[in-house]
Amino acid sequence: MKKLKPDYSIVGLVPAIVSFLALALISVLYGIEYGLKALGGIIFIYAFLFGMWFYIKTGNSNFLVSFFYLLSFGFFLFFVEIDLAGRNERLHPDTTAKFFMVLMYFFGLWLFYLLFNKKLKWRGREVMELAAQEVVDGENSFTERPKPVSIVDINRIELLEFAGFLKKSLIFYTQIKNEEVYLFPIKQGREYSLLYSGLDLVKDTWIRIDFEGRVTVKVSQKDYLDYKYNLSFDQLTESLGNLVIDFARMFKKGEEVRIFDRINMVKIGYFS
Amino acid sequence: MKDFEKIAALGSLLSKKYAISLFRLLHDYRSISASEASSRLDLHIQTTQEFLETTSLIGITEREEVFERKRPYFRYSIKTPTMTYKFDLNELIEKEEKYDKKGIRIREKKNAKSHFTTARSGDFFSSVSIISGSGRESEQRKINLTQSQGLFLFHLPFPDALPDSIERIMEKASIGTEYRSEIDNLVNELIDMGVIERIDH
Repeated sequence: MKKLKPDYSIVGLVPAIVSFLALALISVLYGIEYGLKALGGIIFIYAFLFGMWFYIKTGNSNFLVSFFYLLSFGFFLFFVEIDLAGRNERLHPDTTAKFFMVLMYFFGLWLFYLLFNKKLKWRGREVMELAAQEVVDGENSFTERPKPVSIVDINRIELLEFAGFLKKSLIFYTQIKNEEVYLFPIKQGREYSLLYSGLDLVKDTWIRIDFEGRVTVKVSQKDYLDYKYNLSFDQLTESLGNLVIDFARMFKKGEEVRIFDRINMVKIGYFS
Repeated sequence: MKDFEKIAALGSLLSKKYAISLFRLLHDYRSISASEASSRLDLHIQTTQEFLETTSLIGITEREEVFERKRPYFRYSIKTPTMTYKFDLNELIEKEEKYDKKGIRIREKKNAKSHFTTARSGDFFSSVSIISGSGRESEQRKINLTQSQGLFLFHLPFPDALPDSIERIMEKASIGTEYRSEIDNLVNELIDMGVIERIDH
């Protein structure tokens, strides 16, 4: 049984909603042709915001597929013409538009494959669900203090490589400060605010591993209240820390695939 | 009056600008009243009265009630011109421990209304703020911590965790036993303020 509340957030749909509204508004005011061009411009911006920017932030090259898909879609809308003759308006793609249409289908199929295999999914929800699996219910025992959990046998280079792997795989977003690595579990749909407005050591959940292997965990009140019931806070923080330690051990042994096996045991839809 | 209190009172007397003048009068006069002293030194009578009364309380002078005039009054005379006091810090501190440290286990108290500020290094707390009261009458008290105290609180068990002994927490935090007294001092304070919960064995 899942311990997190179902995700009904529509944050992930906001870009699509904004696009649709822009298309509708401009089409009504200036005609469908201008509406499509405006939509093309918006999607062009999305290509850089959601494609290129996330690639730069995470190093995950799958975001480039999203980038090129949105780029080609935007160009297609920009170059396609509307045949206004007659009672029915029809799209009239010229050679340029056809070229971008082919690219759009190509990258679209590729993107669909990536989405289906959750290659572009932030796995924060799975991480928090896994952490809560063996935790018992209890009274609200939240505290804002971080908890020193344990020590993991990992050297500096291994730690940095581990952090890079986690970030690229979208399992955690990672930041390196002084001689410590911070891992932030990011739930799908919350990546926008976290990546643009920055991560907060006070308000967000994180796991810190220093170069001596000491693991400290902090669970935010927001994430604690995202569970259906109050859980034993002490057990939850301990469990989250031990989960990361398990991942680190698997990574050290070259068993990254086992990390994904563990995460995929939690069945959560792409948009959650 | 305990020694420390006498020394504190004597220190307060000696810090007055007119102290030497008043002591000189006490030395020169066989006995003197507050009104005589105030007229000699052009001081308010209440000032000299309080000064002389304190010298009597701490044993520098003897006080004798006199019935010569309409109203009885006191005359003060030096008991001894030489006084010796011992100031022992260990005696100052209460011998009786506030809490019996043996066998108690502690943890953070649930809903303690406290905020911990992490030091820059991130592995201990630099201060703890405790909010008391509510609404407009709420007050915040901030306690700055030494590094050992900050380390101790960093390893304090959570509200729903099994409580632990002070010794065990210090061991987990790698704090030397020489810091025990300042840890005990902090624990006592935070128990009183409702941040730490004490569970007896």
